[in-house]
Amino acid sequence: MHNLRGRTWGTRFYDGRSGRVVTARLHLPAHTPDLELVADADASVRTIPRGALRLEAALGSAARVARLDDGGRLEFEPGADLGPLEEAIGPGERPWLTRWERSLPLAVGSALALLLVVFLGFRFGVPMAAEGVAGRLNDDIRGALGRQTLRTLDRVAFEPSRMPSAERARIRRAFGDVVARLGDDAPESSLVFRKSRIGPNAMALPGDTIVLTDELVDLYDGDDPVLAVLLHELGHVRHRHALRAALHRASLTALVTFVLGDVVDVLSLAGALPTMLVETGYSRAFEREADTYALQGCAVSGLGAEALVTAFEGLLAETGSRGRGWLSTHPGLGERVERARTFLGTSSADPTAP
Amino acid sequence: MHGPDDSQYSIAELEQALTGIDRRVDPDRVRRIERELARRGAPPRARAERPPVARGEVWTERPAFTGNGREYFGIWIVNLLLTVVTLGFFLPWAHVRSRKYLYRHTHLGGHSFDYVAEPRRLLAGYLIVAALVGLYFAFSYLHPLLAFVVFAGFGLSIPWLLYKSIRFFLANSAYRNLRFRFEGTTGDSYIYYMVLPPLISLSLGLAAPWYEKVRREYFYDNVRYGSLRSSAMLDTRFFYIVLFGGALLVGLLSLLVAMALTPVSVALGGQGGGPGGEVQSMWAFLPTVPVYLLVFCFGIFAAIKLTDHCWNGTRFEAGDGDRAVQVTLRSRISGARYVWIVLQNVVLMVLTLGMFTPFAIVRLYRYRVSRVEVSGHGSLDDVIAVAEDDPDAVGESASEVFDLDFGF
Repeated sequence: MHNLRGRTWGTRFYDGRSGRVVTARLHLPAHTPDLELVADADASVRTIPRGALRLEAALGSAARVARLDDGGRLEFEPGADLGPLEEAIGPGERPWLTRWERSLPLAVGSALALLLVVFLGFRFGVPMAAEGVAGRLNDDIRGALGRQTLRTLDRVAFEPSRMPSAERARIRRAFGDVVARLGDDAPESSLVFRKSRIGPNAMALPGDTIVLTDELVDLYDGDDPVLAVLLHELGHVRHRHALRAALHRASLTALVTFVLGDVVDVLSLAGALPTMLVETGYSRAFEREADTYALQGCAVSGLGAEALVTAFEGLLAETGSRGRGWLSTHPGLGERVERARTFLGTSSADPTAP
Repeated sequence: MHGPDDSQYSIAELEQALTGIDRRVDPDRVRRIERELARRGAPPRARAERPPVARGEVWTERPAFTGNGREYFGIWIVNLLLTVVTLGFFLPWAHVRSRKYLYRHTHLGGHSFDYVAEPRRLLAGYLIVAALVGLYFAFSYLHPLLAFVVFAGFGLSIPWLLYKSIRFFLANSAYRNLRFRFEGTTGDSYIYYMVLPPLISLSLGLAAPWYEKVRREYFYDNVRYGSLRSSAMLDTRFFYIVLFGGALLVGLLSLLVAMALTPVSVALGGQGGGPGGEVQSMWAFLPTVPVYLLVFCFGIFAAIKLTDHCWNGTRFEAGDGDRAVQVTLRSRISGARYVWIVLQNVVLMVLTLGMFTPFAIVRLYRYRVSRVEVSGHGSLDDVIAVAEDDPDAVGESASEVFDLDFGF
């Protein structure tokens, strides 16, 4: 109630029709509900109902702007004290936002909060959301996803398997036995055989399909390492990794494109890198999870963890890959052999370990 | 074709004809002759000798930018945080707020610009596009044929979306509370963005600079402010020199750099592909780094030079008789300086985990604004008065919802 005597502000008035400017004084009378705009040149008066004038949020050091219902625009002198006017017609959109933007401690706090939110989002939010969605998708959708993926792979990476059907049946049977020994906990899966154009490989697709390539089978003397690799893939199936990876990718792409677009825009070349790093980070975590599942499976089924070590060593000899660290989708094979050996050590020292 | 075939006349005859035609009576004819002259590469001096279309005092104004990185940082960081926390739904508000900040701190002749987009409308556009993209990804996993249908539908609507975006951008840019407008047509957009691009590949890319020129003309030829209409006279040769000459230079330099660095990278242990096609060492990428950098710098250089050229070749005209006005822009951006600022910005942004971004945006914006000069015949008030005469100048609805930032 400290505006009893009214207040007056110097303004520039643009009517929105001509682009012409009129300097005028906006007067807030103490006792009438309407505002008055008095032109400096001819003292003509224009009456503005309070509800027809809307203050816009202040931005930086720019002159405050108010808009009239009829499209007119009032520009106040920079630095004018609009307190009484704000009281009379409202402070404009989200005044807290302006206070926030202008405070240095709050800006720094926002920066830290942003880094924290992004970190937590990548570390926990995305994986949790992906896991939640992957668990809720029904079998039809997962089956369709799997078939579609296999069709694409058949086009770009695979050919029909050349392995004799007797051999295929033998592996299928052996794998069935291993899975049966895992107990009721073991997930359902279907095994398909392909000849590979991209070297020895095995993979778990969405929809619980495991692809085994002829080249991988040829890599080893016996069936045990092959079965260990299949157990590793079964680990992927068990944890729905294929689906979760697809969901990670989708949410990361969305996040980077839509939310961080401002940053990435100027930095288009550096923009792909964080996505790649985070994505491969998830992927390595999946591989470790699948390795653990395979090691436990090897122990339970009596295959022995050595089978997985042999499998890794065979791959290591074939590809010659050293530990390549953080640009890779898989942990270094050397590192994986180490992990398996460690597991082997602990499980032989403690026979009750899983 | 309507009108006489200008290609049959000599340059001298065309210039003679130009002085005899009243621009206000037959602006299209004048424009066609000017195009023909530009196409033939008539020396610009000859064209500049035309009698001035407007009388009255000649004025020049330099725009000023009064914002700073510190203020913009506050706005930017709050925008980013709110956008992340709201899973992107704050994005339209963030977009409007940051653009508003830049515009409101840009002054010309004592008046500031303004960005007046309504965030809610933007949100609608974003949601439609996001839904389409989501649909496409969902279908591409589940049903490739439907995915193709969505993709094709989206592809077919791109020229229309572009047209809508340009309209949105201009209709929401205001100066003296008067909005800019776009007068291009959807049909032209389909010609420039759907019909012509395949023809460019048929020409083995030889027509690419020409295409770049006509594509830009679609924008620079169709801007309207009040009763001021823009017309663009761009020099095809300039596009060829910058794009082809520049690319040739970059290609040669890249080759030299790659040849010089390959022995170094081999010596450091990057033998290229191993038996499994796997790269043995990151050193194998060494020669690609400076090449990548060169291409990056050239891209920035070419883009800014062409934009510079476009603004310099664009003229705004309106009115007739004593009230005729003409406004031109002079933009004198040094390509090297511009690239240098961008490079510094990128390095600082990487070192600060992106926190330098708002300062980078302000620096670059301030540099660009500082190099512009606006001049005209007839006082600025005349321009405004002329604008007043035109009933169409107002009320261009802000009903557009799409703003996709396609690089204008």
